[in-house]
Amino acid sequence: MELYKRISMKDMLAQALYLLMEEMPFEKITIKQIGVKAGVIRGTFYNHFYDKYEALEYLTYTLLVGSIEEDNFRIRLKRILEVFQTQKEFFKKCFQVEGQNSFEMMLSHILAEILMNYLEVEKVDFQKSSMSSKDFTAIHANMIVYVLKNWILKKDNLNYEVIYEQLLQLLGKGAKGMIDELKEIQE
Amino acid sequence: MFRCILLLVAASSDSDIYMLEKGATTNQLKVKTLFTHSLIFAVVSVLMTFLGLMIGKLILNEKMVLLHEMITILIFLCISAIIFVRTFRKEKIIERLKPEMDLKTTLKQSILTGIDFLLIGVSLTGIGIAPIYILFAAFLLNLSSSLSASCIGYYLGADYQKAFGYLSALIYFVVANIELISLVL
Repeated sequence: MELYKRISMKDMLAQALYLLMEEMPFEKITIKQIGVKAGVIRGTFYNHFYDKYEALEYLTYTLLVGSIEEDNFRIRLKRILEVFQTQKEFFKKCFQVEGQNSFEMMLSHILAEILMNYLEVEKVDFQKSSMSSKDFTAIHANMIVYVLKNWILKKDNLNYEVIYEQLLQLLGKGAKGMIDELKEIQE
Repeated sequence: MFRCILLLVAASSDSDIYMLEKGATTNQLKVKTLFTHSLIFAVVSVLMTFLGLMIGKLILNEKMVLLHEMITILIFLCISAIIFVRTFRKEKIIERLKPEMDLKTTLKQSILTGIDFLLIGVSLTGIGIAPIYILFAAFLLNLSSSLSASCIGYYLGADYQKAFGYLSALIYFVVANIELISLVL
C-alpha cells in the first residue's frame, strides 16, 4: 500500500503556478515566484520548463489528460468538461493569457492531441480523404475551444452536461445536420 | 575621483542590464562562462575609455577648458535623457531559457555599450587623475558589476533591469548638474 504518492519536481512547479494563479494574474507571475512557492531556486525551474507558458501548458495537460484515464472519447470529453466546471475560476484566468503564447492555442493543441489519439484508437484512415488527420483534429479542437471559452467567460452558469450535449451535436451532426434539424423543428 | 567613479558606475549599467538578462535566462550559474563574458565587457570598456582619453587629449587643450566643460555637461545630459527614454520604453523581458551565451553577441553588445566609456574618457581628460587609475577603475568596476548583475539575474530574475537603467540616467543627470553648478559658481 502506498502511503504517499511521489510527486515530481515538474508537478511541484506546476502546482506552484496553479496556486500563484489563484492569487494574481498570469502575466504578473515571475519564475522566481514560482520557484519560491515550490521551495526551489529560479534556475531549477529552467531544468523542467522553457518558460512559464510551457509550465501552464503542462499544468493544463495534467488537469485535462493526465488525471483522466479514459479511452472512450465521449466519456473523456465529459470528464474534461467536468474539470472545466470545477476549475472554472482557474480557466477563466487562463483564457486571459493572450498573444503569441495564448491559452487558446495551448488548449487547442492539447485537444487536437486527444482527438488524434481517438482517431488512432478507432483506426481511422485519412489517406483517401482530401483532408489530413492533422487538419481534421485542428478544426474540431478549435471548435471545442471556442465553445469552452464562451462557456467559461460568460456569466451564466450553465452546467457542463448542457455544454456536453451542445458539443456532441456540433461534433456529431456538423453544421448541415444542425441546420436541417432546426428547420424540421420550425416546420 | 568620486565623480570619475560615479561616471564609470553609470557607464557600466548598460552591460549590467545585458548580464542581468543573461543571468535570468540560464538554468545553471556557470561561473567560468559568466566571468568570460564579464571580462569581455571590462576589457572593451578599458579600451574605449583609453580611446576617449586619447581623443580628449588630441582635440582639447588648455584654452578650450570652458568649452570642454560645456561639452561634457551637454554630453551627460544627452546620455541621461537617452537612457531614461530607452529604459522607459523598454518592454519587460519574457523570462525564457537561453542557456547558451554567444561570445559574438556579447562582443557586439560590449562595443555598443562601450560608447558611454568613450564619451566619459573624453570628458575625463585633464581632470588631474592619472589615466592608468581611470582605466584600472573602469576595468574593475565593469567586471565586478557585470558579474554581480548576472548573479542578481540568476537568483532574483530580470525585474531589476529598469532600476539599473533609471539609476544610470540619474547618475548622469546628477553629475551634469554638479558640473553646471561648479561652472556657474
